[in-house]
Amino acid sequence: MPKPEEITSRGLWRLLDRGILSLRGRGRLVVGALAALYGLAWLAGGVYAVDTQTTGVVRRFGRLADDAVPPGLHYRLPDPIDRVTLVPSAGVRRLELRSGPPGGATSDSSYVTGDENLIEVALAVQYKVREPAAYVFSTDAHEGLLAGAAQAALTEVLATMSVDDVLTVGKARIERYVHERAQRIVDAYGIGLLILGATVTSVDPPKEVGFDFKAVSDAKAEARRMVSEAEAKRNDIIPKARGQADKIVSDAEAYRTERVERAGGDAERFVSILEEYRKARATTETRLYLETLEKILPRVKKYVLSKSEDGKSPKVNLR
Amino acid sequence: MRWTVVIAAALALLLARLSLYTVDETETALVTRFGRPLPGEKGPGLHAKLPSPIDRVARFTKKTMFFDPPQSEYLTEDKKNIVIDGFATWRIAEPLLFLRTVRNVEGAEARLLDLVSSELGAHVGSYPLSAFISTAEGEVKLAEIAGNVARNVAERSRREYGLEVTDFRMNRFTFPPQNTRSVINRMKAERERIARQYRSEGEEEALKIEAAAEQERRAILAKAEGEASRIRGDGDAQAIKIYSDAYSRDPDFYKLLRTLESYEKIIDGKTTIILPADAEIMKLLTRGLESREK
Repeated sequence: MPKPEEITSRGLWRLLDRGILSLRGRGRLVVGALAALYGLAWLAGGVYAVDTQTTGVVRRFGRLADDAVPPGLHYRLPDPIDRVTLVPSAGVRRLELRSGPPGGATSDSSYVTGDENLIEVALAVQYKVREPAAYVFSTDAHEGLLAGAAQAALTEVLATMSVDDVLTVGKARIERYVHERAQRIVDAYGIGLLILGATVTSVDPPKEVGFDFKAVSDAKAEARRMVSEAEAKRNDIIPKARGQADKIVSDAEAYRTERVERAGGDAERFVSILEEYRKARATTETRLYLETLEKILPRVKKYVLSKSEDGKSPKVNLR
Repeated sequence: MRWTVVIAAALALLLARLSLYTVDETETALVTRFGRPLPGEKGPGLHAKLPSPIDRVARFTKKTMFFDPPQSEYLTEDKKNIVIDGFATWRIAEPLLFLRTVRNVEGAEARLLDLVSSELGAHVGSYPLSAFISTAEGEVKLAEIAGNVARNVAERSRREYGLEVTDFRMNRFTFPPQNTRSVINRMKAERERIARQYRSEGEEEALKIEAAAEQERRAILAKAEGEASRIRGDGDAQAIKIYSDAYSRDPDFYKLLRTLESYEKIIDGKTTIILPADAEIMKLLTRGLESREK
């Protein structure tokens, strides 16, 4: 973090001091003129610039005089009356919580979840200076306090979550909680910081159980695959069954149509034959009979047997 | 005469330099006369005192200090070990008492370490582990525990050392190294159980889907078969009606016609017919024309 920078005109002061001393013993006029020059130079030392990324905070005899000097060229009363501190207030800064607690003995970033699992969480906090005066006056340990607040918030939220939630859906919840909670904590410290957001940059189970967590997600994927295969099978057999059903029904319909049409045709044929028949019953009967015989007999093997004298039918040996 | 003016001015400047002092926004100051503190603290701004070395200024920072003691192991009410990492914020509340008892930041931190450890130990010991980590709604009481520790530490440190502890928080938990192995083993077992559960749930779901699909397939086919039977039956019934309507107009003729038709179907090239010579069709052939008279 860039530190606030103090403006001083001590260098110029020392230069003029030495100049006066070297001119001692010359005329009073020269000394007087130099004293005036010295005074002017001292006053001119109060000009200072605030660049665009910063805000100036002015203290007069130690007491706050101006807490927001905007970028540009400004004047203050020279040392030791006014003191100006330039606070880098415009830029967004980033604090990484990767290596355990600030200044702590451990370089571990593992936390405990609500279901007593260990989990490695890396978090980044984006923040900026909101109140330059509070930032300068309140503390020297901004980063430690911010890291402590963010970590305390992270610990609080992880302590209520299951490891599965943390690894899957909980990321957004963690980020939101840490953002809001850490902001409330640093607000209470009054150190003039505004937290813009918290980002979970990585969440991992401990190395020793990485394989087992992988096995769980594999099992989940396999379960999904089994289900989708079953669904695919269903999507295959149901339409096929529908098609088959349609065919069965339309076959039956074709059968009905055939039967009815056939019956109609047969009936019509019968009726028309019947009409002719009624006009001349005997001849039609004979004709029909003989016509049928004419059709049948030519294609069959025929034997005509005369009756023997005793009136018995002879035996025919058909092989 | 002129020189006396110059000397007087120089002396005045020297006196001003020895007796005027500033107190910064970040400080509070005490004036000590021959080493004995005078009552009243000085706020920010320009102040006057008797010139040094009669009066001297002692300055104390008002800034918030960050105290991060090393993490330490504690025992909960249900005899579980937990490693807690905490931090406290503090500032100098009573400079005089601070000066007399702890003198500087290092001294203050040494006292705070003792206070925080003993208070935290006492409070952790009166809560079960589920007050620190739990997935059950409302069981975790971190704010309450940390608040109690902060209050007690603040009370004692203010009374004894002139320190104002403004906050205490627990910022990380872990398990003690000797417990880590068993925690890891428990996690492994739990993962295995969950993996198995996912697999068998997937299998169950898949079987259910397949069984339902098979059932649906059969239902569709059965319905179609039923429908088909009905349609066929309907066709047959209609045909029967049409036939009987027509044939009932002359059942005898139908019988004749149908019999003749049957012959055509029944009798084919492989059939052998033995006709008696006196068969009707043969009569003319075998008996001559006189047979007609009969």
